[in-house]
Amino acid sequence: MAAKIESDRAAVEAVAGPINSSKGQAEHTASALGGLGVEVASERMRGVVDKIEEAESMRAALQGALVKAHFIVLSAIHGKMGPSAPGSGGVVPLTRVDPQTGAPKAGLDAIPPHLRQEPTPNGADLLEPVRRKKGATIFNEAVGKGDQIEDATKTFDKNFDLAWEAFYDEPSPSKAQQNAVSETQSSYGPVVTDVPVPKVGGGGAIMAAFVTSVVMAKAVQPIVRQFDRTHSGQRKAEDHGRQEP
Amino acid sequence: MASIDEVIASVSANANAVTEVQGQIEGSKAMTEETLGQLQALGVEGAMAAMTGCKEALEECSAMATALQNKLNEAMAAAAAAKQQ
Repeated sequence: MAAKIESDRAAVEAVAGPINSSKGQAEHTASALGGLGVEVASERMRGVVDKIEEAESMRAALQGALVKAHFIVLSAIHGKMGPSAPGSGGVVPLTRVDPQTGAPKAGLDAIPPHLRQEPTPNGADLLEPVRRKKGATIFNEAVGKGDQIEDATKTFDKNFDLAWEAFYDEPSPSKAQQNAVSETQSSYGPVVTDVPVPKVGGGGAIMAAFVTSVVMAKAVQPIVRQFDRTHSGQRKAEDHGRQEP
Repeated sequence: MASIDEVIASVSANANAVTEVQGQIEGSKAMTEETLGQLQALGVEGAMAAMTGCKEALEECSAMATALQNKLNEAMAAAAAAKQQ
């Protein structure tokens, strides 16, 4: 019986797709009619869309009711009656039945009263109190920054290699080293392939030129400093030499 | 008007699917009633209460399926009215 009810539930769930598809179709038709200027028909089609939406919510409620029936059967199998036992106050009808005709009313009450009458949560318990930054947080931030620097270095390396290849038409020293290592490790003979010239666009070339200039400036700076230092030292020595006699 | 016809056909197919589902639910209800009768004959009180609860739940489901079908029929009627326009 539990399996039968479960299959019913699956069948009800399977209807969801076609109902939604009908809704989409009705919406499309309504907008098409609106586009054609047939306002009355368009308005009626919007009514159809609303009705299909209601039908979909009813279908969802029906699915929920079948889940409940399934649960009751499972409870019976396991001998535990719990809140779904009749007379426990936990069984709440999901439909509103018209007392005069006995027919189910259109509006469904998916939320049972015992849940609806609960005080509305204000969500205060979900908020975390503001805490001061602790050692661990600062350390994590520092590690994050370290990662950023590492990324930036990798990007710089890539740009440098590109710039080198664009200017000297040969792989950069770091790449050449990598290639050399892979060549020595390989036991096969060298495979000759046409290596395409790296395509560097206008923006790429400018970027490459910029990167190269920065690299060159950085590389030359210590040499210039050293040169200055030795030069000034010599000059001082010469000055001393001149003053001494 | 072809599009409205398509909507009507689609909703009608949904209504048929719901009818089938309702038939299945009724089948489940009949099965529950049969089990309930057997349990009554055996005099198993606890299981009888459970089966009664299940039967009530399935009756509710059947009523909801009827309401769902009515709603889909209403949608179909509204689409037909839009077509007449």
